[in-house]
Amino acid sequence: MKSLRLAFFNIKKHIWEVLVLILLTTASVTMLGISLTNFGKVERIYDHVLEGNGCIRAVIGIKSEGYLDEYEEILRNDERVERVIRFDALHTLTGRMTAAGKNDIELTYYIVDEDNEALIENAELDTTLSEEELAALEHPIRLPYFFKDSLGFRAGEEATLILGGKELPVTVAGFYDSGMFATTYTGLKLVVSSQDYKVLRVGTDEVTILGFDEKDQKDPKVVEDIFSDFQISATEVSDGTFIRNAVFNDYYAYERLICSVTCETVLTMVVVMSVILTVAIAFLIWQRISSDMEEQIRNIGVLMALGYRAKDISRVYVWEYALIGIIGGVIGFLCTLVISPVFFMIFRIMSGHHGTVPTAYGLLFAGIVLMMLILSGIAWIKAAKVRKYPPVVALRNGTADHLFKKNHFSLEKTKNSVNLRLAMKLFAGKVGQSIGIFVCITAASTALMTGVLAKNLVGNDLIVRSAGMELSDLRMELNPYADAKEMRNDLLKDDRVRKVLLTVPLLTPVEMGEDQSQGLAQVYENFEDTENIFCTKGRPAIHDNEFMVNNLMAVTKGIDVGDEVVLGSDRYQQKFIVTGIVTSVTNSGLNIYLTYDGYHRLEPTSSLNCLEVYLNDGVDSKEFRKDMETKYGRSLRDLRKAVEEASTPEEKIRARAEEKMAVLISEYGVSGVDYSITVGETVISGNSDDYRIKDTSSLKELIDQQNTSMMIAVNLGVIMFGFLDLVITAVILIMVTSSAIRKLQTEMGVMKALGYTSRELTLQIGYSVMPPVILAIITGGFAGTFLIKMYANLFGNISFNYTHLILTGLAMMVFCMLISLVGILRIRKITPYRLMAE
Amino acid sequence: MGTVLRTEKLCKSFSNGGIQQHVIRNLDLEIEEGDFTVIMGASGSGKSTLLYALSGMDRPTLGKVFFGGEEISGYNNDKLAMFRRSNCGFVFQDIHLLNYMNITDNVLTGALVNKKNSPELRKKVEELFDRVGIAPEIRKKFPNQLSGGEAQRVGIVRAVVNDPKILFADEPTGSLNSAAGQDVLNIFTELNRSGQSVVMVTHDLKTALRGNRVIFLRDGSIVSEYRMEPYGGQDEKERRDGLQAFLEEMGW
Ligand SMILES: Nc1ncnc2c1ncn2[C@@H]1O[C@H](COP(=O)(O)OP(=O)(O)O)[C@@H](O)[C@H]1O
Ligand SMILES: [Mg+2]
Repeated sequence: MKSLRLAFFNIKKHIWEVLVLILLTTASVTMLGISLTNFGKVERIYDHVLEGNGCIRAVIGIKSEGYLDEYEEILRNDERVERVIRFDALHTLTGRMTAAGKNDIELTYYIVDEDNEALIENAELDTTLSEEELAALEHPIRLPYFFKDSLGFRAGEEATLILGGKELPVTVAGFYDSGMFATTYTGLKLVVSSQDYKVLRVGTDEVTILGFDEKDQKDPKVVEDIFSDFQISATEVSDGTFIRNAVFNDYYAYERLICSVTCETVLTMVVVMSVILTVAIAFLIWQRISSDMEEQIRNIGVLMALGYRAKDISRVYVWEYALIGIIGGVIGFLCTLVISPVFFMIFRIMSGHHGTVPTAYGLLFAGIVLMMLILSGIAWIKAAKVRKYPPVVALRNGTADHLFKKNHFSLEKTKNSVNLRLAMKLFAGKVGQSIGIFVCITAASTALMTGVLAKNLVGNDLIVRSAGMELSDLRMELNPYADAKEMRNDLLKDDRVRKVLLTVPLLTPVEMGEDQSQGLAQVYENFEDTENIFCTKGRPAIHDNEFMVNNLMAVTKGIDVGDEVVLGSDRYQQKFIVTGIVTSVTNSGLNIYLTYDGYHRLEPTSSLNCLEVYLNDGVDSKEFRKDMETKYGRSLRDLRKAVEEASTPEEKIRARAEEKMAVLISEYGVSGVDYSITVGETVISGNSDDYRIKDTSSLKELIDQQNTSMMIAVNLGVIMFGFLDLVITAVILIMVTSSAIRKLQTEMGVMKALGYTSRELTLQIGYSVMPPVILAIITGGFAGTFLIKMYANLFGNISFNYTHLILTGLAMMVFCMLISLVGILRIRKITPYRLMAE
Repeated sequence: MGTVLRTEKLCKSFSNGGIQQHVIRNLDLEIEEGDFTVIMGASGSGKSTLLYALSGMDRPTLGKVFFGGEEISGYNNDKLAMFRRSNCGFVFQDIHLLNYMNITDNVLTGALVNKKNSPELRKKVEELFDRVGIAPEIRKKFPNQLSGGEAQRVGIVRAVVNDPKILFADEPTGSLNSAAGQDVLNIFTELNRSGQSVVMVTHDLKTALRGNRVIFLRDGSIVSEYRMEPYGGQDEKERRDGLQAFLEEMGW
């Protein structure tokens, strides 16, 4: 009990340092608590949805035009499968939702009607509208929670769904927690009325989807096996057309992974921060005990002379830090109770799912106890050093002496600055402290640098360099009859346009190799003109018998540069040579790259009817897109409106004619229409020149939208790491420098008497602390680069922009110097007076 | 021989818990070049305070201090530091060698603040060590490995390595045994003989004998002063009796 009282006394004496330590401990415990309580929960969010909705667990999508009834049989005959369902959905890689006051939401969508939705899952509708209001809606649409949580949609809100050049006005009926197609990466499922579904179907790709549950839900591999066996049987049954028409397969594991991966990224960062903070706290405790013992050395000697055992004295320290740990732990526990649910709410938004998951407090408790044990343990180990000070040593003021056995940085070798030399001497005398500073600041700066690089990477480079698809500002798919080359020439006259490339529609399938697996063709006239397709091995394809594969395919299929591969279409099979490998993370690793001449060998009648438009810097791409749509792409909606608004008989006739024409073009692929109708005396005539655009899209937008939550996570991380970094380095440097000055008070006084100015002494102490700091920041930069590279290498060969990294490093160094100055400032107060003999 | 240091109505006071304590009061003093000046007085009479004010370690509360015609009492801290490094040398009672470096470096710390490192400088340091009797084998030792007498001799070397105009010493033998004390005092005498001006604070008669001028301080004022021949030119006993008589008169 005596030790406890002394510990309280010590705490009172260093109240500020103790408060800082308690604050840091609280922060560390809270972060640990947040992650311990939430890790389990985010994992369960998705399972919770599946259980609640009875959602189908796996799906296989086949283009409806190539769907065969035998496929369903194959699944039904598979013993590992139960509950097989079949439904149709509209699939659009880049569809758009627009609403007043919101940015266009360009994403991948699956659209199903209400009847099919009932087959897939029975999610409750979250709405503020009454039954009657719902029944009265003309074009109701049910949206996944993403729209509510991330985009701020509300029930009853009017919006427009733009799909394949058609615009459908819809009213938000409400939101639901979707178990399938619920993330921006896999695509989002929108539920519309059967009526609207039929309208949207015109001119849009329809897929027939087979859904099923696996019987053995414990074995994670079983679904993959079912998929691959299905592919073999389906290819057999269909005589090979299956491959050309297969669009995707997907199951809960992907959804679940994607749903939790961003949350887990955030949580991992929080855990890392907690660990870094704990390391820093441990170092500070270490540092404080050792400087305290040096200051108290005489008192310790007296206590020992009075018969106290080393144990009794070190127990005081253990108590002191155990108390700090307990106070920090309790406050941290309370903070966790408050903050953890807030995090969970953010995670719900990020994952796009709702649902409550019970919290496991046992783990939290264990974590906190562990933390306190670590801190007291550190104190115990360090404080046990009291043993090394028998009373004689302690009373003879002799502690610091044993450190200086060797005269490092002899002044006899001084070149220019004696101050620098003296600083190095101080530095050499405190190796332990320097290592501590180095470890803590390295940890902190590694975290920050990794964050900065990750931001940089996710922000642009990673996507730009690894998409393996062109990310032009606008992509326009033209109607079959439109002349793409002529339109390119038109566009190039527009001074907003920088470049226009011709290509084929998104998702143009090509069969590959013996097994006739699916590839998606990226076709350009010349790969020297493309901007986002990076050949990381070999060279771009030039001749008509050459093509490139993507990096994933190269690995999974064992294809390398120089290999010969047979590519095929409906009609032709041709041999091609692989000239290069392109980094690509899009389209599930199915992208292959052909020149137009090469593609022509497979599809001799095809023409390049898509335009990739690149705009000059500073041009508003949204406005440009609108301009293009009004100029070249009048849509069915416009026409319906025109019909409704037409007042004179003549206008009505014209509107009807135009509508007919549009249907002919988009639904039946008619290439060009001229009409003239005689009504009494007047002739009403027109043509299809306005209908050149079938659809517009922007992959750039799509990717930006998909990455919103990842971006938020990374930004959040950078901010948190940055803040943590500042706090840790500031606390460490201030404590270290001010305790250095406290310890060196007499020495500094002597130096002043010898004629050293305060500024010179400031430099000496500053320089003596700086080497580990600077080394730590540089190490942090390298470590961060290494970590991010390791991660980025998964996506292929990606180059980095190091400017931010270097700037951050420099800023940190400046910050450290300024903070050290703050700690050293009190050196001005030291006067040679202290040296006076009584 | 001219005046190196002069004070005009020098005052120094401290506030102790709100109460002003006037430690030095209106003190006028001139220090002559080449003199070995000894400041004596009872404990707490303000000897050290005066020494620190004279040597630019601190600024007076009122009054002026002139060094070679220049008023140093108005200098800011940095200017005072510059002044100290080129004009003053200090020897402390507690010696105050820097623990974290060997004794050669202790001396060099004093030297290099003032001038660049050079072979001549290092040679000079060796010569000074020879002169005070610090053997070559201990020149690389650390302060805590030295005896008190050795350490104080190193302290003197550090103080004079810059050829200061004045060498200040505050009870330099206070923490030494008498034999070691005599060795140290011999060095002071020898330095003074070769022209070094010395100002030394002591309350020890035997130490004071080394000076040629003794100033007696009471309550922060100079009560009186006593002059003698330089040390060694006189019979020791006679010299001692003379000073003792003076001190007794002062109420020693
Ligand atoms: N920094 C200071 N603050 C307050 N009082 C001081 C300070 N320095 C000296 N004094 C006081 O001034 C008086 C003279 O001190 P000092 O000059 O050390 O005397 P001496 O050296 O003659 O023994 C003492 O009473 C002492 O307490
Ligand atoms: Mg004194």
